[in-house]
Amino acid sequence: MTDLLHIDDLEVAFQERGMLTNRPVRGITLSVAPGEVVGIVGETGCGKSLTALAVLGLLPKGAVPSGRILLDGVVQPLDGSGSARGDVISIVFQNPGTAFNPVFTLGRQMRDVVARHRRMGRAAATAHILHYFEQVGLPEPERIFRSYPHELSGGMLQRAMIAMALLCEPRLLILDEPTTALDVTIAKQILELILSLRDRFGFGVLLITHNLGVVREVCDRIAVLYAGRVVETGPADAVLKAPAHPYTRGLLGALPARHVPGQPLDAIRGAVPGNLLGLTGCSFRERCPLAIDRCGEIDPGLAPVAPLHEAACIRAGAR
Amino acid sequence: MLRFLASRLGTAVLVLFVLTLVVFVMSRVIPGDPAVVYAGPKAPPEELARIREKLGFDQPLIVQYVNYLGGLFTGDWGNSLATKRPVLDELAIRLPATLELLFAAMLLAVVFGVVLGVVAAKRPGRAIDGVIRFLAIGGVSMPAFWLGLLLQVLFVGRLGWLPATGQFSTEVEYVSPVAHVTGFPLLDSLLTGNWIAYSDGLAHLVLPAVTLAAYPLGLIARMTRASMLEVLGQDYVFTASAFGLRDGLIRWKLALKNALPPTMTIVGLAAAYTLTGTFFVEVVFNWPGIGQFAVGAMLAVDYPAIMAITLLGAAGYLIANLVVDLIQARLDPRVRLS
Amino acid sequence: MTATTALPAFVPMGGSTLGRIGRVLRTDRLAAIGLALIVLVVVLAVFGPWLAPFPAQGYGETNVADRNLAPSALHWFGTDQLGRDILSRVIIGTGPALTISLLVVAIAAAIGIPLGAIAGYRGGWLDEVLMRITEVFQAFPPLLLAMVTVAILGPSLTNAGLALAISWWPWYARLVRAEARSLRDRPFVEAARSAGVPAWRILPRHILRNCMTPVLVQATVDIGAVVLAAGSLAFIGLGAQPPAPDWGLMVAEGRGQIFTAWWISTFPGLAIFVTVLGFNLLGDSLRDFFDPRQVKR
Repeated sequence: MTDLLHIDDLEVAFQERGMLTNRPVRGITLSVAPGEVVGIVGETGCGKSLTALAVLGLLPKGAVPSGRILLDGVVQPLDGSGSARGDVISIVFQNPGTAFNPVFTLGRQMRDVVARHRRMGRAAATAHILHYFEQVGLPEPERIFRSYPHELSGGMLQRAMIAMALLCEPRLLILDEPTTALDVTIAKQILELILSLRDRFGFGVLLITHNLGVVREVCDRIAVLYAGRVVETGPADAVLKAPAHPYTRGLLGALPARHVPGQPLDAIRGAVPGNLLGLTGCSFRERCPLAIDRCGEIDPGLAPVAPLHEAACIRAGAR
Repeated sequence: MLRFLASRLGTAVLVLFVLTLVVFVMSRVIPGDPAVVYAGPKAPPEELARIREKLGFDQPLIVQYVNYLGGLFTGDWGNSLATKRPVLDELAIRLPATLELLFAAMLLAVVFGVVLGVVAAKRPGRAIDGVIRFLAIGGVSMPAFWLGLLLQVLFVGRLGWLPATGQFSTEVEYVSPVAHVTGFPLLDSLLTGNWIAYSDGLAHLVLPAVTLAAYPLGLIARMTRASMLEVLGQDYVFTASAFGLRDGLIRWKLALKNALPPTMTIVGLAAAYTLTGTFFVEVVFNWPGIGQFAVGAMLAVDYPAIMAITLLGAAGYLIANLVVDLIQARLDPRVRLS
Repeated sequence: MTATTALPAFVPMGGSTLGRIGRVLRTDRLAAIGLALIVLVVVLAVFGPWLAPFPAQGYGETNVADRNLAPSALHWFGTDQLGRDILSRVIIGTGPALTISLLVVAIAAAIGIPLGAIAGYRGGWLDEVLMRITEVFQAFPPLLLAMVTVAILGPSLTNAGLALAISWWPWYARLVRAEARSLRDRPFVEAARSAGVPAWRILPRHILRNCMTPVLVQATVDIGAVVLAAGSLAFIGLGAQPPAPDWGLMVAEGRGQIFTAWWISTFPGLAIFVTVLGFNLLGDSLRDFFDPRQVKR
């Protein structure tokens, strides 16, 4: 089976007046199969949002991407000139409160999306939109259709956002921190909704988050990103139960749920390096409790640690 | 909605009341004898005394003020000292011409100001942005009376394309006079299908309207640019592009509707500048409106006329701001009028 | 009321104001043009009597034999209906135009700043009263109040300046009040207050000093605006009177011959435009730089 989405050695560099200023994404390879939920996990600045933007073709000004992005085996242009965005690929953003235009009704905003990607009459488009409002479990679809964003709660808006993302029956849904701005109970409902919709429509999901609890709940596979690289990837269960990379272990150890009262929090020391130009050796070694001299010489690639489970660390598995 | 209007009108009435007081006191306390203005500098003392009595200048100030206020409500705003006719009549016959000029100028200013602002915001810091910025600042730096004269030299004197002054050519009155429908001459000529008068009136309107529009156009263009730039950085604009919507639709409809409310605030202010702008533009183009009458009244120290113009100007400003608030409420569903 | 955008307070930033202005000039070409125009106008104002080719005519001496001459090598800007060299009159007119403008802005600021600072810092009924007063002033369309005042006082340059100052101060009062209000609750002011520093020392040290940047930016724009306003008043006869070398008056004097001798009105008007443009270009850039979100008034 060919992958739905295949990201092959993606790099994103930033240029200013012809000078390279930073390279926050340094060769990411990743794939999503139809119906699969893949989580991208990492701290702020690890390159996870840029990866999503590259898939959408929405990189900011000055960004220079390289590598390949394939959708259903077809190479996508990296400059955003493709029309897959909003159609074959959809996205749901972190903050539903600001993601909708405040001066138009939800119905109008959705009609713009339908009009852009589908040939459909006004009445048909309205019926289409109301249908998806029902699919995402919004009560009184007609009222929602006529509502302005400020008249609805955050949870309802996020459901409406998901409805908007589904309007053109996408093959791939990107979720960018979809529950971070929501209450815990609402967040749980939204995650369950996404899983049930995935079962119904069969789209693949790329879930971007820094919340390992969310990953545990919904992901089939995860990729842990650090400093613009995948440092560990594999089935979600395997990675979460037996993390091989010290960074992943640090992330899991830093989870308050695992924290034993009275013990100091096992947080990771230091911070992500700000600029990744001219980095040699392992990018994590400055913060790594297991670092040895050789870590400064070798920049390790992904290597199998178990079936389907890979990590980029020469000390993988070491205690 | 009604409550908003009522409270706004209440404030307006209060402000106007204070204005009457201020202007009245200013006009009576400061030296200068209105009777002399009325009768002429060579009038004998008995004549002046008679006029003082007739116009009530011999009574105590407070009585004069109460009489004046009472007159305001009953439609007696006093007689112009210069023309000896009721001030209200003088203003009423001139108001339509001024309003047509104001409307044309504001229409030009809003349409072109908004378009230039959106275009400038498309490429901030680039050449086109710099050119538009220079034009906008040039517009607000331009003395209207001078711009009017320059346009006359070019389009009337050199090119001969447009008429220099007035609202209609004199011949129109004989060939194809404008019938009275609404009282607005250009509108009436259009409504009655009087094409001779309409095209003539339109040709006369172009130069004064453009002259009057320069200042508000510059203000509106700058404000639209600034608020567009702010809106374009918002999440929902990014959402729109993430859903593949076209750049033109995003800028000219989705973002612009968000950028317009702050722009409308400046439109109210621009309209106020335009109100005073008519004074100068009407003088330059001999436009038969209130502005020209006002300048004459001020030079002649025609108290009743000056006071009426002041009140009318302030009322016009208040109305302009009220209209702006109503438009803002229509544009932005989050604004509640209360 | 509608949702109006409050003027955001200027954040007291590090670095000297002058240093930051220098940065604006280096990065912004239009600001540099504006400053160049201002320098030109100031040089003409100061050295005008020595630079003008016919200084006596600049002050009003007539030369009827040479009237209405078109621009030439001898008279770059031509001559007017009384034979006076227009270039000389434009140059000599620079001094009074700038002086009156500076005076008006200085008086308006001198009235408005203390009132605004006290109202904003103290709040309460004082604030209420002052704001109501400024609202009445601002209920007039711009310039109308000044025109009425000049009409009543009698037209002259002095009265025009007085009238403009009277109608201008409320803007400074409101500007400073808004700043003072937002500064009042800042930690450094509260610290001073809780340490028992009296208001009369807090106001100049903490409030006024931090208000200076927006006030200076506003003043830059206003100097140009007053040149324009004074010229406008003179044009309709409510300002300087003949034979003063006033730009607005000169435009009015040439109006009758605009189709036969365009230069008489054109060059004095150009002088107003260039002066106002200079101050507006610089002021606009400074405002963008110090606070891009502030609403232009």
